[in-house]
Amino acid sequence: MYNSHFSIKRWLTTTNHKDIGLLYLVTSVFFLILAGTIALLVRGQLSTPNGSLLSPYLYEQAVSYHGLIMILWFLSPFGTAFANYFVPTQIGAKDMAFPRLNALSYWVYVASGLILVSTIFLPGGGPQAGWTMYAPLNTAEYMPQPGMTIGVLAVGMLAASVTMSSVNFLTTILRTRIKSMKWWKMPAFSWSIMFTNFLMLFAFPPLAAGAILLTLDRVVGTVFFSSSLGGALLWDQLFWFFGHPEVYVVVLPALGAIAEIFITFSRRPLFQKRVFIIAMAIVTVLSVGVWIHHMFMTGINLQVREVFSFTTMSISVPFEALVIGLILTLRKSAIRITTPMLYAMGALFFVILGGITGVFQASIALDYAFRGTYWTVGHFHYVMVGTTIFGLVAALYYWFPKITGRMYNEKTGKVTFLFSFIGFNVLYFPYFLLLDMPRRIASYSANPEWWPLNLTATIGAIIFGPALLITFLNIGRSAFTGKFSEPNPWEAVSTEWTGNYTIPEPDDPEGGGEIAIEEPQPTEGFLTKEFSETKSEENRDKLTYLPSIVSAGLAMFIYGLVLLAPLAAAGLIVMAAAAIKWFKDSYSGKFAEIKESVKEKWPFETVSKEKLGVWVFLMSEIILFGCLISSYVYVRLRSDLWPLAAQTHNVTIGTLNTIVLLTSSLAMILAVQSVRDNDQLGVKAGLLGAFGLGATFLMIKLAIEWPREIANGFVITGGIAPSTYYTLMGAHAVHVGIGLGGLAYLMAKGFAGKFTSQSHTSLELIGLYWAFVDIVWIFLFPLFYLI
Amino acid sequence: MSLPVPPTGSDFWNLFSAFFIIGLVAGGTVVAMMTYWAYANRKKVRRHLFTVHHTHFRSRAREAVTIAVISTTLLFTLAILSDNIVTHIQYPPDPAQSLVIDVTAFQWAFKFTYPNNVSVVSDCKIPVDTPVIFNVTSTDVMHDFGLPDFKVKIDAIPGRYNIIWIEVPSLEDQNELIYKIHCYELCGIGHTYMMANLTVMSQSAFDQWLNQTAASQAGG
Repeated sequence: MYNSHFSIKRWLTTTNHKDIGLLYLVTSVFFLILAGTIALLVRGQLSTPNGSLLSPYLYEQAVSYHGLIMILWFLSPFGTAFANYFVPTQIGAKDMAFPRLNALSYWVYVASGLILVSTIFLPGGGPQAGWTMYAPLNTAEYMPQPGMTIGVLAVGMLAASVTMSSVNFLTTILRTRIKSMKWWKMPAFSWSIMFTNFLMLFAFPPLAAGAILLTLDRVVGTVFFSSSLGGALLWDQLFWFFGHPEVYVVVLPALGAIAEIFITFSRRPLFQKRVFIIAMAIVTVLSVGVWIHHMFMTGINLQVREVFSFTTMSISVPFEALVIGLILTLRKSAIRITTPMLYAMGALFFVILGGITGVFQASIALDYAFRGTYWTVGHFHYVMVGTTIFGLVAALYYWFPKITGRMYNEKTGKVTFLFSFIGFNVLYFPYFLLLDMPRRIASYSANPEWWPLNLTATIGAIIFGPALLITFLNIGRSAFTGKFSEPNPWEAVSTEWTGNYTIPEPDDPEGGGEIAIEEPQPTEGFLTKEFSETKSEENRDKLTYLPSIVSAGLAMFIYGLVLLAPLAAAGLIVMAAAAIKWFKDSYSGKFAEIKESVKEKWPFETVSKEKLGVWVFLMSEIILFGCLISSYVYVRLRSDLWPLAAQTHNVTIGTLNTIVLLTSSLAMILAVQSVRDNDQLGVKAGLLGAFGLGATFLMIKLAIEWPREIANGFVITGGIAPSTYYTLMGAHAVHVGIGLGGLAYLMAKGFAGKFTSQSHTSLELIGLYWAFVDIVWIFLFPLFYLI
Repeated sequence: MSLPVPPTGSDFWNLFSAFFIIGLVAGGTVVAMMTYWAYANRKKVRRHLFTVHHTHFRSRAREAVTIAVISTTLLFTLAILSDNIVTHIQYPPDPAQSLVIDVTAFQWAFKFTYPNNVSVVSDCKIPVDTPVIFNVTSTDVMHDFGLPDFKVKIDAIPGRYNIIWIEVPSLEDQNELIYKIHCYELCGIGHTYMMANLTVMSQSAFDQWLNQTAASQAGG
């Protein structure tokens, strides 16, 4: 079945990074067309002061869908598409570090997007609170429709998908580079993807935390965001701690791609590549420290705002280094103005304009005028649409011959560029002049003076939208009918084109050394017949339906949770069955790996990729718990009255339970130590002890502690104190439950005597997770029981 | 009829011009550099320059450092200019000398409550040449109380009181000036139509209106 590139089975079961890259590409473009059509409706509505195309009810939904889909389901997955396809090739890895996890990321992404889109058909419609979903408008009191809850859960699901994919990318880049791929040799695009994924790892857990708390508010009746103890600001903090890094998540892959394109078409090495990469690193670090600039008007302390105004302004210094580095690359070059080069230069123009208007936004004084206006809308459309769409369409044209083995139509490419570029500016530049117009209003009949500029913008949209659509149609057509291309039509020197991982970088003072050429990667012509036939045999083993089944189960679970309990149960069963099959399936040997990957001296020398993956994943878990705990501390510090810990919780039981859980951890350590000495009895005793004590902990909590507290009137719907208590304890209990599932799996394996001192990866990994669960408790116990 | 620009409005435009000029020069320079080099090098004879070391042009690094230093200086200048104005917007004048109005935002209008407990909806009246402090909050969702001509606004958040202040120095030979107030944060379906008027009148007319309204509200 695999030998046809149209086979449904191939696309449902693939774990190949190139296939998944293509799936990401097609799916994200689908979401672009969907959200772009919605944008055209919005522009149509605003083409006259009192538009009648959309009612306010539909209009607020339209702007919400447009923002959510464009930012979360189009812009960053569009970059992930190229990352999937080209990062492993650029760094000389055979595939992603965890191919099946990669497939799972994709399927969860698709399922979450479809769930979100489906909410339009539900009674009461979908989300109507904008993509920012500010509290308390997002709570059930003001937005009771189930579509909103499902939308929030879809966002949480997307965060899960992104977290899995960033674990995968970081492990791939940190651990599976080919031996000769030293840090400074790594191409700029792979660098940009590494920084992007670091940011995703930090930025998406706060979003997930926000989605979890909001769902509990809406479904269970906690009061995180409806409480006047800072509910609105708590959402702001969580959302923008995600939201600002997200901008860089969206922009950095485009900048990396622009760098590759500038290098190739100017036939020059990147100007001061190390400075360029260090600047990207600084941008990455700074971007998690600027989020308060989205909250300048919330009345928070002026000193805090001044600090964040300063950090925001200072981020433009490394950004400028990036821009100048790219531009100086062009000097004394020999440029070929091709379609990708034109798009890349267009994107750089938008980076510059968007960046400079960003400096305006950073000023608190100016923000008193800009907040909530079309100026702001113009600014972020220049940054996100301009940079990312133009930069990544440039990437699409640039890598098109590599992906398809064919050539696109140069003339159509240049003409559509011209129309896109002009249309884009006609569309978004007037926004800067609509300085006083509020965002997200469906009509402006009271301010007819805004009409000419709005009409201009709509005309721009009528040019830009179709130009973009024709671009993708043209690319799609050329993929099947274009002329066959040479293997390296641009005479590019980067590794994904040459397959030569030993060419010295011109800026590398150490030179390339005498390493033999390894693993040349010719142009595949991915959609041509030859490729699919030659690949079929070796790929059959890697095919699996499990990722798509798991995500279908997850989608059913989420839908059922809100609308129909039996559906949720069915979803859980599907997920559990698929997960068990997944665990049983031995993957070792199926996925070939390069013989010798890079050996960094520190800190990865002795760390297997599985262990590194778990570490990276635990990093995101730490941030998730950090966000939940910070939310608790935040609301607690803001309230004058808080029930005394000693009166609401039984400290004796809590202490006892703490000892139980810590002992369980010690038993786990015994198991891990024993397996290293090949002591089977110790393994069995350790695992049994860890499981038994872990189960006891959970039993004491759920069967003794909680019923007592509930009997005392301390119920989850009873205000902010029980909301925080049950949410955090519940989140921890869920993790304990997952850990117990893992321990049960280990016991089944351990009692069958399958662990040896040579082979016990799963024991170490689950042991690591179990230790993490205990450490979280060490933080939770004093926070709830002692103060 | 064009309305006179209030002091906070002209503060904004002065600061904006500083940002605009610096931004235009900086942005114009880099865009010009990119366009010029792209244009000038477009028909170069095909040479393989990939292997030509950039450090052959060491002066470029010096240029880059110069550019970075200049731009950092400019940013600091802008930050300081901006900061001076923030202090002005942030701290209201002596509340004893000014009129304090409580603004309560709700879905979907603004209610204005005067010191003598008179309250009006959607139609705020203030005296000329007197600092007016708005003490803004919300009773339901998050709104944003914005005065576009004054170039100031502040979020209206349930459970919080945020302050913004304005002043109109003169009526410029008119009986009254009417400025617009808009909500600048999506607050539900009625967000589009959530606006109010701000009428500036002479002190005597204002006192008369306030007393009349007080009397009618007490009577009603």
